[in-house]
Amino acid sequence: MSPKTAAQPKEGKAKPEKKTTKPEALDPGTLVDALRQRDDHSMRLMLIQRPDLVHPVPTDIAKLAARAATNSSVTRVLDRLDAWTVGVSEVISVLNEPFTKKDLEKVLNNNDKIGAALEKLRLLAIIWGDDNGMRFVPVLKEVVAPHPAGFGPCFLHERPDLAAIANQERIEEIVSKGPKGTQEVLNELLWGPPVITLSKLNRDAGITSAKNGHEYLMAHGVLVATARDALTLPREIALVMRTPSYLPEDISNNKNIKTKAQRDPVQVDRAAGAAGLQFVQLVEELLDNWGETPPAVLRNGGLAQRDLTIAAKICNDDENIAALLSEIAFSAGLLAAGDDKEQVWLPTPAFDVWRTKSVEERWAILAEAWLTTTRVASLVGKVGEIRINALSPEVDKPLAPEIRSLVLDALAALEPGFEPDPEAVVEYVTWLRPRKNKEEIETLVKAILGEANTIGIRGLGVLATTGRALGEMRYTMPSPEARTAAARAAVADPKGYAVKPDQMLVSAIAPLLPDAIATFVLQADLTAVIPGPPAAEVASELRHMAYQESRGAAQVFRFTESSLQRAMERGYTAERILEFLNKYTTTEVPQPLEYLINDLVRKLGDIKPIDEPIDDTVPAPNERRSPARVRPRPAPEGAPPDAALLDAAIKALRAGEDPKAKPVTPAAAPNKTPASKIAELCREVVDKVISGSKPGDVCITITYVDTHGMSSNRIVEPIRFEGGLLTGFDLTDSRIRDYAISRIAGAEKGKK
Amino acid sequence: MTDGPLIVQSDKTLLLEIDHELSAEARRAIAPFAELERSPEHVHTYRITPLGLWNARAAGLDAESVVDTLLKYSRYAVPHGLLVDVAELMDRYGRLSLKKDPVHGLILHCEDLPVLEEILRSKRIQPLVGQRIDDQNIVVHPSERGQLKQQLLKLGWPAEDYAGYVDGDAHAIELVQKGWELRGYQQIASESFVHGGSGVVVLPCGAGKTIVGASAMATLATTTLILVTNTVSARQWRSELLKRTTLTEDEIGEYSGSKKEIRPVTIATYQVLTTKRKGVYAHLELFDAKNWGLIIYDEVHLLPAPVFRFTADIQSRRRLGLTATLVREDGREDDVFSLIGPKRFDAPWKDMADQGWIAPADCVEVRVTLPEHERLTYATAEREDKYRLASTTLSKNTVVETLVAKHSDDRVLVIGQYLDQLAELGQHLGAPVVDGSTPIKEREKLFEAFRSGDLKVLVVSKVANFSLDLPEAGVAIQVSGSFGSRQEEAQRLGRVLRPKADGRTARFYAVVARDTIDADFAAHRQRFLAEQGYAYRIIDAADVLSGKDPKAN
Repeated sequence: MSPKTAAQPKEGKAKPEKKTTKPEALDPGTLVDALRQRDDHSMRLMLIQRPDLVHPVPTDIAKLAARAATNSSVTRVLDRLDAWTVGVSEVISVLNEPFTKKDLEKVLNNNDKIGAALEKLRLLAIIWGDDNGMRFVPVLKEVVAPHPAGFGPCFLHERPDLAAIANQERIEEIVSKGPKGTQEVLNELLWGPPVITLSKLNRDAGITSAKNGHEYLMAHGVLVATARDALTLPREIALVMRTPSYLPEDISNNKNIKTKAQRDPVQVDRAAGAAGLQFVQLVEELLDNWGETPPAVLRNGGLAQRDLTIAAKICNDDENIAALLSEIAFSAGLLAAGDDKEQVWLPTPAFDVWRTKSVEERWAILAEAWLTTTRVASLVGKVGEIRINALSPEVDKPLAPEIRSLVLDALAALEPGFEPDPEAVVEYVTWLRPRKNKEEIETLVKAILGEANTIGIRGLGVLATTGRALGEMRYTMPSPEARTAAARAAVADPKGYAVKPDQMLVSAIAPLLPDAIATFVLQADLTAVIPGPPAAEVASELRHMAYQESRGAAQVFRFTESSLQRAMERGYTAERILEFLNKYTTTEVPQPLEYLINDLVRKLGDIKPIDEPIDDTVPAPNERRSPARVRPRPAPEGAPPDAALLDAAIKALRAGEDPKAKPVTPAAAPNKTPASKIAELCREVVDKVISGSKPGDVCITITYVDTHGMSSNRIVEPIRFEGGLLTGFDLTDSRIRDYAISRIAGAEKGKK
Repeated sequence: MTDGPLIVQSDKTLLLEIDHELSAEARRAIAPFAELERSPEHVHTYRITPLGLWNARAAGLDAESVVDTLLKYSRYAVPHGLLVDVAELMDRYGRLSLKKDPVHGLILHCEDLPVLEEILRSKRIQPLVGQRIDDQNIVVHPSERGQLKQQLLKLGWPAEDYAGYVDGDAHAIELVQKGWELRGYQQIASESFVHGGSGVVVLPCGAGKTIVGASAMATLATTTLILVTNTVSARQWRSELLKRTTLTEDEIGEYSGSKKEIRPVTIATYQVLTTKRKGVYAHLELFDAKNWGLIIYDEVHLLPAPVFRFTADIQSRRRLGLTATLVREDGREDDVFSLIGPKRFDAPWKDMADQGWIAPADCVEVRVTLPEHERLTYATAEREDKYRLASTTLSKNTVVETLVAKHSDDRVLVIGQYLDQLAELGQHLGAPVVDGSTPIKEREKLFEAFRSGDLKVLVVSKVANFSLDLPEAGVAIQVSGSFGSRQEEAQRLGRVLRPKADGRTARFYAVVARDTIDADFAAHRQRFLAEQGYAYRIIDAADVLSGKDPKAN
């Protein structure tokens, strides 16, 4: 493709318009038509990536199309596309409609990659039509404004002389005669931004009086003075100069990530395992400490610098680590701003459950919290003049989970054992999200890489098995349905028993951890030593009978009269304590300990033995807990629609299209049902859907009283039930609706 | 991950598994820099402290070898923060040094200007130093040498002392190894002291600390001042020295309440040194009475504050501290470090017992119940009287009688705190009582009788806590003590730890009143014993009286 033959704005044309006579550019019609022709599969793919289109579900496809063409929705799409696809869409926005694939090929290099970009944009309904004739959503121009692909505005109608200047030879001629630096001035503006602001600009400079390259080019009409002190490169000139490709050469291809060093994957995993173990222990140690001496909540919601310093001392580590520990604990729902009486940071009841789990499970819960949290602990402390406190709102970065996910992908794509150059990862992620702030991406990527080392996702700077599992986990993360169920469970289960760690994560870290030890050594100085990472069942019970004295790789507990008394007040009998000790000790139970236990019985009198298992998730009396809180779930982009909702949405959209779609009429009104029964019934049917039944197979007929007091019967295929709302596909008028549970007068299973 | 015997905790403790095959090797490797905190049966706890690390630096160990040792023997990954701390702390030692300068005399030298500036800003350092010579050196008056070292340690910048020692007046002393010989560990202890110049040797009671002192004196062959806790122990030092060395009666002087002799080897008591007359310590001049080449501090953990102060002024003389424990109830371990010197030798009690150097011991706590009327008195008593009431309960007397009767073939020491109680016990048992008011002559006569076997039971007050050499005492019964004092417990146990001719197990009974403050203190003391590796049993007084104690025989 030579510049001469490439389609480009010819003399006399204001825009890079294609000749209207071009036979091949077929008009693809409207977006509504294109969407109507889509099959369910491609519709679903689009809706998964554009969840905003079904929040709430539009009544028909025309409304869907209208929403898909809004500025905010299209912006959302472009924000998540890579640099090449965004570049192509920006180039498209400067083309005339309808355009063809060939038109694009003429103005771009990398023809082989154009198809993929078009396919992506087409799926997302940014463009429609086939390769022989496409249109784009009109709002695209607005979204990529003011400088699509770095092009300035067109000036032809204001400056007809541009037509004469806008050809390669003429521009070269002007530049060659210009003062020194003229070429550089032009090059700087060519790929955008096309506007430059100069403090000393003589707008009246003529060809002879021009003092520098800028004024010279302005005098020749190559640059246009757009404000008192600004010059702009007109699109007409840039188009000519950029030929043969409207986009920079390097944009089409993401570079390989440069690597720094290679490490033995076995060593990597070992280091990650050690880091993971330490991380879990430090979280426990910190929260344990805060349970007894909680730090105050600052007025802005954060943690005072002084308390962070103390936290660092507790962990024998630096403040960055302490900040990360507290942020992850907070994100995992193990830490919350205290009760109403006093504003302090306290462990939540969920912490007590968490600590009874095995190390690998505990780690998995923390790692998952890290993956999904919007909080970036590494921001704590620095940032110029301003000090950012841990646990304060300033640490919240909505972009973080997305970038984290991209970083994990980038690392996973490397050969095992290679340590990436952080700058290269920054570059890679910047390419994937070209429309985001570059500085923010850089900060986030570096923060994420550092945090990954501490948590045990990377070892020796290389992605470990744990990190790979975490990356893959995103695809098997609890389905939205399961999440709905979990959210519902969380209301009934403030302690977080239901929080199940991801099995894949658990099995990824388990082999990297030293074997848990389910025995201890009892000594005459009344200490019990677990010489290694403790098995959960031993440690949690021992904790009730003895005070922990030292922790780390091994755990040391000390029995004292008061610790044993505490255990007995909790319901442990002497027999039970001795039985436990005898069962797990590798040595003999020292006589003084045995004597101490029996002597306490004499002192405390008879203890009523409690038959039920003792709840080992009840903290000791001296430890404080915050009231039950639901774990903070970051939802920066809104939950992706679940499969049931999607199916129902598509069904509703199609039904809205069909003028003959006949509403199902319920046979008879179901009887009045008590409110508690209704809720029970709703939950039952929704549970069936969640557990795998198709919504279509599970119907519920309800008598619904609308806001006008009119009562009607409706047949609903339920999708979810939460917050007092039943959401479902209403067969009666073929759309998705929410029904307030308080307005349902009666309900019955099945179609009536 | 290796399968080492050591577990390094992030709180700077090291757990050493004793049953591990590498444990002996690992113990030797970590002993120079980690303090043994507890040594119960299975898992010993060491702690890494700044003092310990500086002790190691003083002994010539560098941070790298410490880190290497930790990594080598650790079973799990060593916390990174701890390794960094070790390196940083050890780096602090030796940045400052005390040197002799041919022009200016004693100087403080530092090559790190910021450090020097930092310490010179301190209000406590300023009065101790003189004129600034240049960026690296500053004059120190010789009399402030000890004070300065003390304050620098408090600031966290311990100074290395290169200023050397005066040799003192030479005086030929030699060991006479006739019928006995220097044990291996005594030899090593003495050698590492002499090599280090000054410092502390930690040995359990009964392990022959006197002989380490004698050996050091012999090696240095110089005039020596020996500071001991009391007159009895002064006499024992004297007789030991006469027996073990070439020293004769005329060469050894006693400087105590009754005698004031100054000879080439002088033994003085802490008590006389700290006696004030008209507001001044009249006898501290003793330090200057002769050109001493060596000063030995017996029971350094008891060193009284005035002696500390004076010790600060004699930093140019060699100092040897001898003790069974570095634990000071007043927490002044760092003063011992900076003024006497770093620890030069240490050996766990249990190891010594295993090697037969000290007798094995069976520790038993006997719990008595207060009779009803005493319980009421106890409950309504003022707080300060409670301990006395509890520990002098009448019910203890019968138990003690039973125990003494049970060990009628052995020699029994009954040790207590309260004189009334002791007098009463003495009457009950028909045994003589030795307390502070017993004349020295009378005491020595009684001890001699006890040693020879003519006297089977002796009731003693706390005068017997220290340096009382009664090798044949096989049973000690403690009826009351100085509250929860751990070092007293160690000393009293030490009474029965001298190896027995027939190798029999020593017994240590503590009779304790249940449900009272007495029991609480006992628990505190026993924890210390257990941490030293002496497991103990608790039995009820009723079992003793009925002879049901299963292991007693």
